[in-house]
This record gives sequence, structure tokens and C-alpha cells, in this order.
Amino acid sequence: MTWIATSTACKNTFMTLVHLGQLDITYPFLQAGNLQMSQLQFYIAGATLTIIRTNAIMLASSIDDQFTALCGATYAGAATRQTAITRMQAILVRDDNIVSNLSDTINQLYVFPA
Amino acid sequence: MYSPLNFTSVRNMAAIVLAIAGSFTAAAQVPAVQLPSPMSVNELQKLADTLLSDPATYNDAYAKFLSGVATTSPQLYKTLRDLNVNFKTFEATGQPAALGLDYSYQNSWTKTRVTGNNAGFQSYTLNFEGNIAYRKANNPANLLQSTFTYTSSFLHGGKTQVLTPAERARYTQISDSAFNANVAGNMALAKTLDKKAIQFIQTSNQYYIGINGNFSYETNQDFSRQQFVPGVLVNLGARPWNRNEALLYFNLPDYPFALIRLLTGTSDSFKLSPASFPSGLIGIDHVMPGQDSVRRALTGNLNAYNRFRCEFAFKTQMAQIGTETLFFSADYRYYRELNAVSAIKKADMAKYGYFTAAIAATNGFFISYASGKLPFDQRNSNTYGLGIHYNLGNFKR
Repeated sequence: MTWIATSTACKNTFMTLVHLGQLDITYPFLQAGNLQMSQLQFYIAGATLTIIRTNAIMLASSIDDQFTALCGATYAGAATRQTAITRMQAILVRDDNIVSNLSDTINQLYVFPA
Repeated sequence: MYSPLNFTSVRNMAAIVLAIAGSFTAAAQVPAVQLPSPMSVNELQKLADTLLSDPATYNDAYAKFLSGVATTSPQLYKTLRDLNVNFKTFEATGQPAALGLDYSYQNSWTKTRVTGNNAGFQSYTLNFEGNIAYRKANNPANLLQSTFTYTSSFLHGGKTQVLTPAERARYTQISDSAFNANVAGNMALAKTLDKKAIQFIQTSNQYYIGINGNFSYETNQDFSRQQFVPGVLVNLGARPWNRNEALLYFNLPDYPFALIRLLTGTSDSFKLSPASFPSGLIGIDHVMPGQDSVRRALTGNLNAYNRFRCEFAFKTQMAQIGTETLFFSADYRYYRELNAVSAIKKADMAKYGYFTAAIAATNGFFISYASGKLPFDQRNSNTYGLGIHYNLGNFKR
């Protein structure tokens, strides 16, 4: 899946990262897809992996919560809150993953209202 | 200074391999160099020295190599990609610039259980990380760590109030408008609309506590000093999303940056950032030296000892300049041997403190600073860095 403005998953990924303080709203959406995890607010590059994983778990939980509470998202297929948090955290902790990788995973986990 | 080209040097062999393999096109991957014609042997040697002294050359070559492996051997690619390798230059005060690399690998298996406002996690994690310098004497952070960790953790709160259908419709309309303004490049409008969208978001404070049992193998880069370190760590995190509660105001490191955000116009009021609340860990290690000639010379033995350790980490948005975001990050680690003998104290090996800080922009530019020493470092050092962060993933898209 490419990073495009007409994708609901991409749009909701971007806006939720903004609302969770990971990105500024004035950062161009089209460039945001290429941002590495280490360029988001939660990822502290000089910290040990234990701390990065802590921040990633908190962020993954918050992303899931905002998708369901604000966006009205439901889980796709056999996905659950548990699996969604676990899978998103796995993407977040790798500093060479990019935001569009996260959006790809989100697209597999959630169904957003049209 | 690096030695001149000769057929026995590692760097010369690297140049030959790159040329023969044909998998690295120097002209495409490194800044174009105008070659005077004709070039003497000395000029060719100087050119090669310049290219082979630049960590960007190795980073580009590695990225190109990974891109090739991704096509020919997906399984090998997955393993190599998990091993995050970054070539860089160490510039410690009082020491010449040293080419080297840092590496990190991690893999984890996590089980999650959610109950209402709470979530529990059990995970098994394998981490490998460290710094290696071409010349070991110039390595300012000479510590390689291989760690297996079992973590049991608990997450509470961070719940966002569910919107009514009418509220959701209104929120979606405003949020989509902010998004469309961003895509259209109208950032002032995007900012204004997003402020309205945020008013719909009511989230409770979020708290995290994790208990980790870990077993580490620590060594310097030439393995002349080694030790096995089982230990217990407690790590803590919090996100004060509810601005009406007091926790947010305990985000002390963010006060100067909240002021900078106000002064630079990034924020229209003095606002602390909930997302940047510091994280930390604290614990006890039981260190079992395996090979340590320095310690043996000082104490006459390699008896095991206990070590206290803690770490605090912080990162916040410093400013928004045009479309680029500047982040400030800092991390401090402290290790202290408990009940150290006087010989260890006199040798200044009873405690270690290591501080790193960086300002990094979303376009990749960064300035970094590191000070102190880690276990196995025999002297304090101050190291600065300046450069561009490469996204090695570019070659796979």
C-alpha cells in the first residue's frame, strides 16, 4: 500500500500521530510517510532499547484507543486490541521502519468508517 | 591519519571488493567528484582515502547491498535488515577522528492481555547493541552488550473518551479539513483547524510499569574485558494526557522547550508536552567478570559484585521551522558498584555516568554530544557529532 492522501488508513495514521504529539500538524503529509520511527517523538535514539520499548507500548496503546474512540474504527478479520497493540509495537520499536510501514500494518488491523 | 593505499590494508581490500563486485556504483551513491584529467597515482590515492574515510560511503554501499539481497535472498535480507548497522565518525576530544560503526539488533516475542482500562504484557526480547571503532583506542563508547530479557509489564489508563455519533461527525469534519489543508500546503489553516479538532479529544493519564529479568554479556570491542550480568530492572513511563491533572506540570525537563516553542511561534501559548514526559529505569545487576585484566590487577581477583544502575531519557519538540521539526533528546545512564573496594574507587572504576544529547531535524540533520564513560571505558570523553541521518530503507522502495 502506498502513502497517499486518499487512503483512510494513511490519513488516520498521520492525524493520530499528530494528536499524540509524534508529529507537528504543519509537517507535510506527503513527506511523513518516509519518516523513520527514530524521527518520531517517542523514539529516543540515545536510550536503551528497554526505554524505547516502553515508549512504543504506550504509543501503540494510545493509537489503538484513538482509532476506536475517535475514528470509530473496528478490528479487521481476527484482529483484536491485543494483537493490534502487539503488532503496532513491533513496527514502532524498529528505528528503520517508516511511517508508511506503520500505516500498512494499521490498514491490515482496522476497518475505518467510510 | 589513515595509512596510504597498499594491497595489504583492509581499506584497500574494501575498495577492490566494491569495484569488482559491481554492486556499488560509486558515481550514483556518493557525491559526484570532478576528476581532473589525467590523475596521478597520488591523486587517485587521495581520492580513495577521502571516499574510504567517509562513513557515508559505507552507509550507501551497505544500503545498496541490502537492496540487492532483498531481491535475491529475502530470508537473508530479513536477518540483515534486523541488524541495524550505521557507519559513523567518532570525534572524541583529544583523539583523532575515528571511523567506526554502531549496530543494534533486537527481536521480541510479546503476549498482550487487555482488561478494561488495563493491559498486561509478557515479552521475551533478544538485544545486541554496541559501538565498534576502526581503531579501538579511539572508541569513546567501548561497550558491546548482548542481552536476553523477560519482561512483565502493566499499562493503565490512556483511555480516550468515546465520542457520540454527533461529536464524531463534527470531529471527523474538522480533522479532515485540517488534513486537507495540510495536503494542500496551507499549514496555517491546518494548524488552526487542528486546534479545534483537539478539543474533542479527552484522554486520561497513562501509566506504565515493567519488571525485567535480564541476562547480559558485556564486553569491549576486542573482548579483552568481558563480564556476565544477570539483573533485575524496573522501568517506568507516564503520559499526562489530561491537562487538568497535576502530573503534566511535573514534566520538568520540558519547561525550557515549552518556552522555546512559544518564542519561535511553534506554539501560540506556553504549553507543556504530555508526549515528552521522561521515561526511566532503575535496577540491580549482579556482575560476574569473565575476563578483566584491569580489575584483576587492581583487586587480585575477579569476584562477582553488585551494581546499581539507572537511566533517564527525554525527547521533546523544540521548534517547528517551516515544514521541518526540530527535536531535542537526552539520555543519562549511571552505574555504581555497591560496596566497591578502595582500589576500585581509587582507579575511578566504581561509578560510571554517560550523558548524550542531540538536536535532530526531520530532514535528517543532527548535532549530538556525549560525555562521560560506560563500563569498560577507562577515561571520560566528550564526543560531538554533526551530520545527516541516512534512511537506509530508501533503496528498497
